[in-house]
Amino acid sequence: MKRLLTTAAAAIMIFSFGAAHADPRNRVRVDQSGFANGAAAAQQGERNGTVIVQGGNGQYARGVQSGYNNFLRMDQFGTRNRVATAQRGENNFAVTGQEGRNLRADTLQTGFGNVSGIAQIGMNNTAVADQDGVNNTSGIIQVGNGQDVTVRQRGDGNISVVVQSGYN
Amino acid sequence: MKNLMTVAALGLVTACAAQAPTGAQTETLLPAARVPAAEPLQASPGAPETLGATCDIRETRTAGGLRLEAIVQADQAVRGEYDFVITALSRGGSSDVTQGGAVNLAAGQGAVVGAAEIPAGSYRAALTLGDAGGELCRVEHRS
Repeated sequence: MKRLLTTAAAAIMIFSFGAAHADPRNRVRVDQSGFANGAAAAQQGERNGTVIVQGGNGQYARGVQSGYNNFLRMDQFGTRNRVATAQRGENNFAVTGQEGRNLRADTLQTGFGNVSGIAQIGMNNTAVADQDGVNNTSGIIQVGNGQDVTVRQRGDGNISVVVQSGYN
Repeated sequence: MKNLMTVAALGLVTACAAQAPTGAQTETLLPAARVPAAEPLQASPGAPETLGATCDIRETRTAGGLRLEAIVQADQAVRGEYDFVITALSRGGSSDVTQGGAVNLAAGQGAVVGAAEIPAGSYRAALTLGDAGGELCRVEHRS
């Protein structure tokens, strides 16, 4: 992963801190295509929203949010892509969609509303959801063979749905 | 396909969120599963009774596979923690689901403390309830 980041053809680091903005909504959107791109968005405060879309192989996207109405959406298309999402505080909502092979999606949520959704289409993909706090809800859909899911929920309201559909 | 995936992910999350307790519902959904002593939750015949509480895992077939619910029934007041661990194998791959949290029940109350839906295939699920004094009950299901 270190190599992936250092050899990134393009890297975008966006930091938006709510306290420093007149508009407390904190919106970030990143679109990338190509090979070995890295995208990261870090937000703090108020109504955080991030959307990252990457097409190509060897992509890496990371989103970190702290604060209130956290929303994160990650889309990746290609092989050997990875998404890492971390949310803390209040109404956390994270959605990751990946299509390709050898993909990995990690979602870490701490706080109140914790809702996580991960959809992966392809083969040999890995999805991890880690939730702490209240109202933990995780949904993971994987289509293809050789998939792997890990869900960890700690707190109240723990609900997990895993859907896996393999090919013959 | 891009839209399909996004719609699928959003749909799943929305569906899950619809089931999830939110805000004020927190006090009604999970505790709503609590029932008074006159109507204890029905434990399966194989569920062992132990020190002041009974653990059970309720299985319900769904369109996508199997829904497993972790149920705790307190014979005496319980203030402890539970662990619900599921390992599943399906045609698509493997799943590991771990749930845990605090359990506070008065004597005679029961609650669904956790729930998971897993894909069709083989599985192993274990529910353990313990307090400061140690393990109160444990039940294990496997296909």
